[in-house]
Amino acid sequence: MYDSLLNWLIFTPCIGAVLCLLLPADKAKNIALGTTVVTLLMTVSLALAFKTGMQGPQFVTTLDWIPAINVQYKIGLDGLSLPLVVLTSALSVLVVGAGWKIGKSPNVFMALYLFLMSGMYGVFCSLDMVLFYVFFEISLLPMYFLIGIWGGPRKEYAAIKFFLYTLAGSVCLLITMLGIYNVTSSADFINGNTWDMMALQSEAVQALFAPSGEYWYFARWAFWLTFIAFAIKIPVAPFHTWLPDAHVEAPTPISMILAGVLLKMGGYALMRITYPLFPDAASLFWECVATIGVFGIIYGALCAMAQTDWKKLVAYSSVSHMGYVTLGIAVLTRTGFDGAYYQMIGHGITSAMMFFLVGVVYERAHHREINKFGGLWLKWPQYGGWSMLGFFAGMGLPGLCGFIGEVMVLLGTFHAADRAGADPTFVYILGSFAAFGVVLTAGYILWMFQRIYMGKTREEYEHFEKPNAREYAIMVTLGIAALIFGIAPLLVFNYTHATFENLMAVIGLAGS
Amino acid sequence: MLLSDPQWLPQLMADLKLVMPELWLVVTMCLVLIVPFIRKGNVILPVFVTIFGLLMALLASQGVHLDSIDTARQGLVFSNSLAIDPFSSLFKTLLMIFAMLVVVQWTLFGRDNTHALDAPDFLCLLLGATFGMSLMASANNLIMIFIATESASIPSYALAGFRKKNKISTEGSLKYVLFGSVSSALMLYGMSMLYGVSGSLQLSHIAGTINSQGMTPLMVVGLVGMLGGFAFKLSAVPMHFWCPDVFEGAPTEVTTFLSVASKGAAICMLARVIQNFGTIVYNEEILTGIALGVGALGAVTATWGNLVALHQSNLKRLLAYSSISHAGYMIMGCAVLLLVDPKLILSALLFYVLVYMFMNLGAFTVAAVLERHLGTLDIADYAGLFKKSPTLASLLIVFMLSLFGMPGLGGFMGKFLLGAGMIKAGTLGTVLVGILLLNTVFSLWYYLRPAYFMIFVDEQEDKTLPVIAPLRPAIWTILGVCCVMLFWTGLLPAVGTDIAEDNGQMIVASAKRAQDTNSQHTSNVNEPIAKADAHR
Amino acid sequence: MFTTLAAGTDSESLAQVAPFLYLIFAAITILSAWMIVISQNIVRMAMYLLFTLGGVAGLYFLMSAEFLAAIQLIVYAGGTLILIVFGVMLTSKNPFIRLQTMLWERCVAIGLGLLLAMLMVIALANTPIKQTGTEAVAQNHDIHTLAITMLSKYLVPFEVAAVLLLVVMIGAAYMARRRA
Repeated sequence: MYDSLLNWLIFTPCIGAVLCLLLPADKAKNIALGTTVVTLLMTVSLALAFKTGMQGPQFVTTLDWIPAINVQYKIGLDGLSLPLVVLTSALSVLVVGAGWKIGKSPNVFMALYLFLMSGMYGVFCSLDMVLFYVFFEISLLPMYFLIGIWGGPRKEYAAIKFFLYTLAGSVCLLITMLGIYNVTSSADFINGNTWDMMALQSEAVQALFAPSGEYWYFARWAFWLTFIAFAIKIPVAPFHTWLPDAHVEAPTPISMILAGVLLKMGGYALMRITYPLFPDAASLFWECVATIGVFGIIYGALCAMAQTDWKKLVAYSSVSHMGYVTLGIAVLTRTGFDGAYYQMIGHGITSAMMFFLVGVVYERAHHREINKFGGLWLKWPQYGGWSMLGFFAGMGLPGLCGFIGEVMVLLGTFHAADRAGADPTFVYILGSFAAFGVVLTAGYILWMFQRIYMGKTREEYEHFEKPNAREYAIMVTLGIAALIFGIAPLLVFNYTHATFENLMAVIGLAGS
Repeated sequence: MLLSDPQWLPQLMADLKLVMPELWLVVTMCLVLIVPFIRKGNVILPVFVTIFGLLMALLASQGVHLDSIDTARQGLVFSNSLAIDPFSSLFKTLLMIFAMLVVVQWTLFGRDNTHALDAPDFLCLLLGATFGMSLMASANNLIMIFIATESASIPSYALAGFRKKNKISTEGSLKYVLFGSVSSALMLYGMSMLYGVSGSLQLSHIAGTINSQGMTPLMVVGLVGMLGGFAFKLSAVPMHFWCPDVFEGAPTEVTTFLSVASKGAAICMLARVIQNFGTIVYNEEILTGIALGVGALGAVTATWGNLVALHQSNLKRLLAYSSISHAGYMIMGCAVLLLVDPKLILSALLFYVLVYMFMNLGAFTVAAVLERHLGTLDIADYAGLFKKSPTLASLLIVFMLSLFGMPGLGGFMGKFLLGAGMIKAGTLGTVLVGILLLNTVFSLWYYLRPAYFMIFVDEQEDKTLPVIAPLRPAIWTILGVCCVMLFWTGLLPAVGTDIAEDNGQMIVASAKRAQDTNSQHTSNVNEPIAKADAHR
Repeated sequence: MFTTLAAGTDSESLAQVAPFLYLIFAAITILSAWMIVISQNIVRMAMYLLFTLGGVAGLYFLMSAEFLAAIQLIVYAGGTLILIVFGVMLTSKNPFIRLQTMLWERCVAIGLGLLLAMLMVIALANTPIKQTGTEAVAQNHDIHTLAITMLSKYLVPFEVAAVLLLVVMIGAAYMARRRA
């Protein structure tokens, strides 16, 4: 029963989207809210039925999709995907709430958004490479229209830039996939070629990609190509330039889902595809990847500090925070992986909240110049309080959800010194820079907080309406989530534990 | 098959059965010409006759299977000049369906610009071109290749210039004729070289000559010349100049027809020539060289088509360049046919043609609707169209995205299957796949242009769009069928790929020179028997 | 080399004059072809074309393809060309119109032509030419065999050509018709 429920989870948003388009426009918002609530309930029941001790995927559905080249429709949930699916469902409800006041054709907006949801669920649930790719790419299209139609002044530019950048990444993925498909015919136990992610992690295939294997050369290329594909999505520093544009131009709810879930696809895919498939290439290049991650942390933080546009600052903070994810994965330690994963969940909550907090003010002020604000705390003390919670969670204050991920990534980085073949000096330098990133983060967030919330209330903002109940509801939900996940990390780790054991074994790091 | 042979009449009758689709087309042509004597000035009657004839040809093209070598022998008919195999049969099936759809499209749009008395002429020319294309798919020796290409081209020249009063149409047609004659001459010249070197018109014998004499310079000249003629039909890069002008000027239904059917037939012909070489020639170096040449042609074509398409403002010209780049992709697929299991590539090509047919039919039908109701093909004039007719605009976007290769739509599956076949061809295959994918990325820019104007840009105040009158249900049907087919092939491609896979087989005649009538039909099915022959 | 060109003929004397005849016919063909290109008057071009076709027919005679030579003379030189000349004179208001080409067009054309000629020479020089078709040539001047072959082995191309001509006629009739 739960197997079919997972299928329904992926396609229910599609049904909702079609209903949005067919029924009268004024009903669209209710339909969208209903759909997201239904999917949330589905997700919750799946999470309750999930057996936490199992390593492999659960609720698996396997169907032949393109028999000619062995492509399957194979979906399932494991510890790696379940928390992200829950995050997606939970955020989706809030995003519909945040988009409640969209003026321009709300039915199209909601329909596109629901299509996007299907794509996100599909990415997190698919266990076949082709299926994964299809969902990965399908999720771009609604995003393009959502930014392009409802965005800010430079929406067209931002939308096409987003699309082209991520498409270029997808293409790197596609060529690697075709290559993997081609070379797997040499693995003796598989009949012909395969796209099955689980089969690709088996020892027979791993032997091909090992340094002694037949396709070691290919594996090194494939590692970098897939890494770039997902690095663009995360985004890792040199590939990040689409992100500030997309975020600044996107409407608030879309920024929330973009930062909250879409960026996580990149980190998730690194853990799901790049690292388990090419562990030897990964450990060969780990220093390079880790340096890229640290560069992202520092660079993102410095850029954030230099911004005068509030939303851009939050966007760059995403670059910085997602750098921890890259670093945590790159150092190849269990703690690092756990930390990176928790950082994704935590960032999913805090970034959505930060973008929403910015959105609430922007809706009233119609500008985002940090230096033109001031004294918001005195004007709306309640809003100020929740803002403090949200931004401090993003900053990584102990007790809030941003803290656990960052600390675990840093610990994992230092643990890498114990790994065979790692140069301790390099590891310590790396770790110190990453830790310095925390200081920078505190710097730009506190400075921003001071400029916007502290001081005297400016006269021109006297007429602002107070945030209404809907807005408070969203803020409060996210704030409480930030608090809970800051206190009880086991909520996530209970689910991921078994799968990560398995992942470590595949990567060959069991026990480290 | 000389007259002295007592078997010639039964053999002839048996062979005739296999060319029933072509015979039906010829009969229909004659019927269409007779119809005006019965009902003068009636348009619907010849249209029905045409559709009936195409339907009969469609039915006649069914039922070709290669279960055994024995049936394969019968597949090479009329002294090996035509090969009736599953590959060509499936293409013919698609061609007939497509021709029917084009006739319907013409009945809906083109009829208004055409005098009622000219209707039989148009239909007859269309049938004549279909006849030529159907032969192109089967042509198995130099004479047939040439004459089939001409049978497809000459009616096309007349069709392209069918709007006699229209200056662009006439200019396009003239350009088409001139380019066509030069490329025909080039092809014929190349063929004469090939004949001179090998002393035979059979493709398999020519390939056999490479085995015995090696790749002589004269052979290279011959092959390049022939490829030049093919390049014209495919609108591959040095011979592509006619394409945008003809596509812009010709009536839209003719453009639709030429963009798909003519290129598809040429791809079939190219695939057959290459398949002959791939089966018979056993020198890997020569094969790689040929693959490299054809692959380079495809890569240059695809890239050039895309680059020029980037700054097109006219919808039809944009689609013309897009069709050039798609031809490039298919040529790249043909190139690796020499190096890998041909079945994979052949079925991928068939699937590609199937999908491409519906994408282009849909896109050009929307273009025809827009041209007719808004009086403009300039994409910038479509600003704000999405608000006025959201369904039509959405359909155009779907077709464009499919042409681009958006997952979930048929276009992606076509490219994907082609790529999955191409990647097996070692470094060359990988490079070609890379070029294919890179092209896909930057083609996004122009495929999204109509969407950009229709959705993102608001209507200008000084240029208000006329309201599009309610369209006829038949137009909606055509568009709906195309759209459904694209989603179907994109989301549930299994049916299409199965059909394509079953038909990804070509017959290749043996390389050994036929000495007498009995051994004339020796043939094999995608198996390197001929190679073994040549080795001995 | 020239003697082989006359292979298949029995006459001793023809074999002796063949080289001279070959040179004469080849010269006529090439020179008049060249004149077509550089001439600017359309009627003169047609006349030069006549000489070219005639020269080619002569070459066919020398290669003992008498039937082909006769066809060449009757169909091309006799029929088609007269039609062209009459067509030009009847349709054009000023048949002696001058066709001008631009200098750069000429340069490009000459360059391309030279390039092609060079390629062909290189290709021919590097290819060992074998006598492959002598038997066929010997048989082919028997018109009976030719006819049999055409209606048996090459039946399909022959018939397809008939259909093609039908379609061409329809297209031409449509183009020429005044109604639009």
